[in-house]
Amino acid sequence: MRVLFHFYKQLVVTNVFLAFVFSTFAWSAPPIMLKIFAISLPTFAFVLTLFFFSQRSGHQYYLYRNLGYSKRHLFGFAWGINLFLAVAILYGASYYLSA
Amino acid sequence: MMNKLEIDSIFLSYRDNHILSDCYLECLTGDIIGILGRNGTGKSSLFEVIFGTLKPQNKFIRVDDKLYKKPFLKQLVGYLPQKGMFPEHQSVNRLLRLMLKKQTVELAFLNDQRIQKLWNQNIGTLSGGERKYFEVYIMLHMEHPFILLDEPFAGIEPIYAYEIENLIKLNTKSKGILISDHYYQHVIRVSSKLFLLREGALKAISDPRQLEALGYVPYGTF
Repeated sequence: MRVLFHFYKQLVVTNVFLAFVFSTFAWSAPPIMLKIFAISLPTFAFVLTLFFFSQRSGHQYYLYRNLGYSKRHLFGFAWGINLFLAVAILYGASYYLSA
Repeated sequence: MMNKLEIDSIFLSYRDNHILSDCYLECLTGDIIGILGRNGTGKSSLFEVIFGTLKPQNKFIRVDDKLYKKPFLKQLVGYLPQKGMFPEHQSVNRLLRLMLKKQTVELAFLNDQRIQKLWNQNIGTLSGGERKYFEVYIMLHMEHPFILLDEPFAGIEPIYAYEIENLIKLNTKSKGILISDHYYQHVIRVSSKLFLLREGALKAISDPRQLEALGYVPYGTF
């Protein structure tokens, strides 16, 4: 788990930044902006983040492989956390807006 | 505990270019196997196949007579790639804590002056020799019974190369080690068995002068 979190921490800044960039397409409508942010976190922004990470730091996958983790493990875990965050944000947003 | 790594019937080709054909190798705990070969003969590819990250047309990788497709998933084989694998912005002690057991980290700090000196430095600030020493140190202190070191002597000053040689020699009791490098003097000195990878096959070398006859080094080298 510690190793998987280590990988996630390598991605999170870029992932959140890219999700924010995507969300700015709806700058004028904050509720939609929040939805786009949440949806892009485990989707477009995540795919782009993995692409950039592989291009820039692809050699680091060997570190995780030496600890017994394949790309599938790493991507699955990171995607799972992002999905959880996305659902939490969407749920929180709908609760807040309906209140 | 004595472990055995067997690599058998490896065929790897890209289109019509046969890289590895029918390679066989056996490595036991305590062995240091040196693999020499000219550029492009497939040394790194062979290591990637053994590690489980490169899928050839055919392969049998056995550890203690059990077949594995990706031995790295069971942490049976560790691999230090030529280009390294550590993030530049992280400190030596943080990476030691990530990769090694707590007791091993404490011992590293107490017993190795080089590691002590590098303790708080980031990977990106280390010199080529320090970085290579640290990478080899970590690999040799992980739990894997077999370790693959791809060019551990490349591009570093002689003093570090000798220290890495000593590091490897000191850590063979519980591991089998495979080394590939163009710095053949170091590889020959440190190895208990030597092979030349040539035309896709591994040829056992019993006398370094065979390397002259096989065209790996110029005549008169030994």
